[in-house]
Amino acid sequence: MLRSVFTKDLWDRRIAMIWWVVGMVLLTLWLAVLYPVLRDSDAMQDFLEEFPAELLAAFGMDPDTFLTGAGYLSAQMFSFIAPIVILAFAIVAGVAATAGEERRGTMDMLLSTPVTRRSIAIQKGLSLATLTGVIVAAIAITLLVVNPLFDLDLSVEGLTAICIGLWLLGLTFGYVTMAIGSFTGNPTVTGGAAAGLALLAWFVNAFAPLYDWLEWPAKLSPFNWYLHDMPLVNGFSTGHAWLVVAALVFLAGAVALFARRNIATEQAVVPEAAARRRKTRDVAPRSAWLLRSVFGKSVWDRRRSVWVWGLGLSTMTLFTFAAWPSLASDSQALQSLVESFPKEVLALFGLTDTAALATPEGFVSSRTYGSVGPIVVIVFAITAMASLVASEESTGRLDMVLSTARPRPDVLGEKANAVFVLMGVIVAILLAVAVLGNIQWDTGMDPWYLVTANIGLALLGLCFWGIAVGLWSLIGSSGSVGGTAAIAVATYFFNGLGASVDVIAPLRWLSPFYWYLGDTVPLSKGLTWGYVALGVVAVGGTLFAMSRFRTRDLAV
Amino acid sequence: MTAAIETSGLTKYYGDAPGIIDLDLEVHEGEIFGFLGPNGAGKTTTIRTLMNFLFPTDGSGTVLGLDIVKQTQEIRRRTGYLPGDLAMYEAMTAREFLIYFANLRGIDATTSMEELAERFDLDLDRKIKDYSTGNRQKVGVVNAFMHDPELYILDEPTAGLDPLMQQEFQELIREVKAAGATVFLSSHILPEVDKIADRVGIVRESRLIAVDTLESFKAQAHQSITLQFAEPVELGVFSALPNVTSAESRNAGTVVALTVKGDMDAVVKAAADRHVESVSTRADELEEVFLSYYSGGDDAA
Repeated sequence: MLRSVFTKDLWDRRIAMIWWVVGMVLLTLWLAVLYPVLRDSDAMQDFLEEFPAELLAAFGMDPDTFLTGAGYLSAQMFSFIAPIVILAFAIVAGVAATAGEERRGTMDMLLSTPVTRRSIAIQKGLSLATLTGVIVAAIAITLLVVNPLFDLDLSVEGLTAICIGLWLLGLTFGYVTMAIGSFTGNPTVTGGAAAGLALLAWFVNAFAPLYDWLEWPAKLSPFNWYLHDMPLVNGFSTGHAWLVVAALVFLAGAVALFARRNIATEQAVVPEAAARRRKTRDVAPRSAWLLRSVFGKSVWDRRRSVWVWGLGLSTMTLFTFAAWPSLASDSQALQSLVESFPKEVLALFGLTDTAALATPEGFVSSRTYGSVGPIVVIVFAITAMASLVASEESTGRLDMVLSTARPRPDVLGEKANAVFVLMGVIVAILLAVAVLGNIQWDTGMDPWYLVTANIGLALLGLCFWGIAVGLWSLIGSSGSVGGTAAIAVATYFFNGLGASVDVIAPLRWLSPFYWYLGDTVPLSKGLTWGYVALGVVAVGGTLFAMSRFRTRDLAV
Repeated sequence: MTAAIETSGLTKYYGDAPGIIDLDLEVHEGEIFGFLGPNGAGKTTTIRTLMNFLFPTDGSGTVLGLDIVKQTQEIRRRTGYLPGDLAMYEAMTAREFLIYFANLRGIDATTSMEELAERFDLDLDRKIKDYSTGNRQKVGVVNAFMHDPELYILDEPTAGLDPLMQQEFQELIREVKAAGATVFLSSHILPEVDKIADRVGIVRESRLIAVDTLESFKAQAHQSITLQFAEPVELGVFSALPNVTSAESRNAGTVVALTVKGDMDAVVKAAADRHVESVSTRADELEEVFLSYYSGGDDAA
């Protein structure tokens, strides 16, 4: 497997691929299992007849076909979840292909061999295509197998068409990412820009049925080409051709940009040049005031990501508020939408108070405080632990910090304080936007409940910080990040399953999601005992980690 | 003699910040050329431009007679490179890493890889992330030498190696030179350069300020000579002599202490006319010569 850049790339990902494939197979199976339940629900039928078709289209649903296997999978699997997974994979791989390798410094070694730059870029493009293809193939094969089992009634041609489209969609964005990476050489900028472009392309296409002015830009979105003319039903279309052209153009762009790139290494180029410029300026850096303590440095480390997460979440919230008036005008349809979904399905996602969904509090909660919000704060908490604590230890930087006279518990304590403050900043941004949205779109929510919902959200995130840092103090750097993520996913489903299956109901009480969501949406309740439980875990986990840190053998 | 490396007006800027300016360099075939300079002087920039990791802002260069931008692939085929800031695939074992790179070169280097590993006492079957700095450097050295290239471009090759291994490395350099290869190495370890280099170039603040043989640099060293005479002598006789940069008389004029730059012929001949009781001399270290270049002192002019 070490014969070429191409095969080496495949070899590097062999373990990760197993997880991606297993994950996609399980997800596909899960959606297939739900299909018969949904199809046989009378309420669903009524809902589809009453609900405005334009709104359904925004969720990738077509009322005429939704209750067929193809329509259902188009909406549930191929409009949303599958593209997210494939794009996430392709963008990560695209970043690693050029910018990531350059930042790690291994690009110098690779380029010291007689392999041409053109060939390196093309081989990396091919490995991206192969690996993305494997994941798509896992979805396709799973669906082919379950097709007769759950009466999905899919045509092989349609399945081939949508899966090839999905693969090409992944390649398009993977190659865009590679091109950006070959131009900037900076993995963070590359990943951010590519994810931003993907989000924009999705948004433009998904909301085009709702807003006339989006109709024309939507034609330029690769998502539009990918979903053009219901490929799962109607097979191949001109959209496929556009995707092929786009993928090839972006790959060519990536190859051309990479061929002209000045390869940087962190040590050799950037600081040297920057240091020289700074010398002539001869003033203290602007960040000096933050660099007085471990706390300040930790805030400084995360200063950019706080804005990205906070503003991203706030923007989404703003859209949710903005959508409310048009939804409210169709309140009857909304009511039937809510009633039509099987309660068990909603409960799985923690939506136990279904009647509330037709109120502004419930609607905004379901979109922000009950779904994306928790994801944002939990991902932020876990990545903060990973970068401020776990990677600080495994890279040996913690050795440096502890070689100063700072007491150990203080170092960890200050890092924890920084995370608490940063989490506060994120929800403060969100709160400010929510207050504005509440006034602007007349949603008439109680301002106090807006405040408490944000407090709850912050505590949920901090609870997972407590779990992450506690786990780190027990099992070390390598497993703690993945472990916390696994706990988050598991407790999320415990909460949902516990709500509908009595046997495991007690498990629900152990889930931080239950403490946070309970059976009343966050925007309709004040402070609860559940929030206290979240705070206890957050503070307790931190204190536990601090006490264990006292006698820890630092690993490098 | 043809040039193994030749640049003319080679310039690389990072935005406004200079990396290397107007470099005219000639490295002869078959020699060991030491590239010296303080940190940030432009050594690594020069090397990375020669390897075409960076594109020159201005000027041009050839390596083994091939253009550094247009014919880089052929250059890389025939060159062994060791980066100054060694980054490798951490999850691979050294053996996997080296086999991969031999494959990318389209060769089977198993034999020389194992010989080199044995020579440097390197266990090839551990993950690169588990190696110490010194062992990582050895992997880099094996990678640069295993395909028996015509030219070696080595950026601070002995960084992290222990003294024993440094000696082994110097021995290896002498062997490849004896076999006809050219070595271009950057360093700031002077004793090492003193031991192996034929010629030396010095860069400071992005410019090449001197190129010469080590012997010539040594000739520039100041020498101190102290002469003790049986009777007092007139200081003026010595202070006016060629090459004498300072003169001082002690012990009521019977002892004369001089600093001489360059040859000492005139001083010795002038002293020979008198009754000399004793002579002591001390030459400055090569290091002091270089330090004066590094810091831009008057002697460097």
